[in-house]
Amino acid sequence: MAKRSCANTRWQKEQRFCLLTGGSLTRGVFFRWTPVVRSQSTDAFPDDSDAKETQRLKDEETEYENDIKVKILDAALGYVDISGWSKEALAQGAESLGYPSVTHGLFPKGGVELVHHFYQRANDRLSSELPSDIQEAHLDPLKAKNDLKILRLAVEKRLRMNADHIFTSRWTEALGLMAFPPNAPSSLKLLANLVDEMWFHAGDTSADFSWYTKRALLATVYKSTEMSMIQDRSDDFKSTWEFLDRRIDEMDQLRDCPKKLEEASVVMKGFYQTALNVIGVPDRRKME
Amino acid sequence: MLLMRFVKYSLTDSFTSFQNGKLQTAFVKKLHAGPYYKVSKDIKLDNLKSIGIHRIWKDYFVKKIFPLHPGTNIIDVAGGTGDIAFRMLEGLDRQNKNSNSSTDDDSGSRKNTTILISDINQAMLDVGKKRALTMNLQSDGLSWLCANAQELPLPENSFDLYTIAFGIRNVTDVSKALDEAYRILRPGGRFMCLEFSHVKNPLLKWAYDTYSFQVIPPLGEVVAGDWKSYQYLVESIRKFPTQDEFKNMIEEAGFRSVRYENLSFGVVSIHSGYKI
Repeated sequence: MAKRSCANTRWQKEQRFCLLTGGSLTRGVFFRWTPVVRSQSTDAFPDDSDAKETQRLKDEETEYENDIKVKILDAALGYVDISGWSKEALAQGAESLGYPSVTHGLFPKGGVELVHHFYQRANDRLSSELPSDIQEAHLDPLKAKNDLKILRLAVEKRLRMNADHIFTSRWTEALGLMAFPPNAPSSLKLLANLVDEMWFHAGDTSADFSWYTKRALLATVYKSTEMSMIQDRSDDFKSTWEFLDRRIDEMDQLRDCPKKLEEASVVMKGFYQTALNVIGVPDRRKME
Repeated sequence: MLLMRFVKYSLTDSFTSFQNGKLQTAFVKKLHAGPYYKVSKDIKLDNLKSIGIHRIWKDYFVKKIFPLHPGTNIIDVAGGTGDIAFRMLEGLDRQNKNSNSSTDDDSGSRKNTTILISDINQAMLDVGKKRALTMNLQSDGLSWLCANAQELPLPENSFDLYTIAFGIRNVTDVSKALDEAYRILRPGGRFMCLEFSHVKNPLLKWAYDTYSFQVIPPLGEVVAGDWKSYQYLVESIRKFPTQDEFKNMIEEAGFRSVRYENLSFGVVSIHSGYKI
């Protein structure tokens, strides 16, 4: 890649640095690494053979861009009840921070990026607040019998975070956007991370196939409860929590399934042997 | 007549040096005065060249800008004939109609949005002005400026959106134009560029090359009587940097979050960057 090698580049970029901090946007953090790094190096541009340095600078750039994106997303969340999960909300969020409204183009997928941001924020909040809630409820994750109780707590807590948007009828829009085929993979990833977090806090240490079945089960419970919640008109979502209790009981019953199947198989084996004896098929093992 | 002969002569002369790989600056300056004047008279040739798809490309390009809020200052560079600007005005009308219930004033938010159309060629601007009159568009926010994209006589930090459609290819020093774009944009402003680019798929590339070199110049000869300038057009498209190279150039100018989107498998590409 041919880089512009004249010293003008360094000077111009520093001038921009002053413009940015001295400009109309004083609310945002507008530091740039360029002046510091370039004044330290003796070359006009970073030495390409130092791959680690260029990678570090690239990472800083990405981090800087992501910071701004996150700021705009957070600001845009406040406009969701007026404008929905859309580019309009993003534009309004950007304007509230002092950026021109065209900055909504930083989010090419539009409204769904806002939904995913909200979802991720809620997941993060759950991860940080759940341990203290578990302690308050006097449940010990190390004891196996408490895991379903912790899950019940976690699912209710997480679903309550969507309550504000359910009141304004915007959550159905969000669910629709997440289910849209191009967005479905990222939405599923968020859901997968969520159920994984919940099982982790419930004390799951499984290392076999049940790791997958447990999470799949919890994902169906979570989703069905969410569907029940968006149609719920009862006071403080009471019928949703009763629905959740029923689903958790079903999970409990399913847990006993393998044991019951084993017992059942012993009985079945017995029936099979009896049937053979009745017919007269000789038992080869006894004969030898 | 004499002028046209002079133009043709200068074209043939500099054309060989272009074919040798060197793009003469003087040639490009003459080009802006000469054949593009002729080309501007035959805008219907654009339809033939791109089989009418250029309209879809421009529609898509303008759609990406919306939603646009009142108070946005837009500059459309190399947009003499007003294609992009008029689409923006139509889009603003549509946007205001949809959100009419929320606004109180009846003139809508269009009043505060300004669009400045700039072009190096005054003839293109005249064509644009004529079109504006015939299209019955409310053009109170529209202004026209004849200027070189490399040296815009405009103050810094004065625009929110800088668009350039099929124009940056004809600029002699693309980096200078990008620097100017960075200078006149406000912090948070967006740079958007629609330009012919490179097709990666080998089969499509072969088809595209054949069409470009075998069909377009003869078409230019038949419709506008000018083979050489259409040959120049097609060759300048090949000379322009690839999508990634251009993306790097935009980043060098200081823009961030630069990304590109290919349309029609890479025949055309939209580059977008932010001054953040």
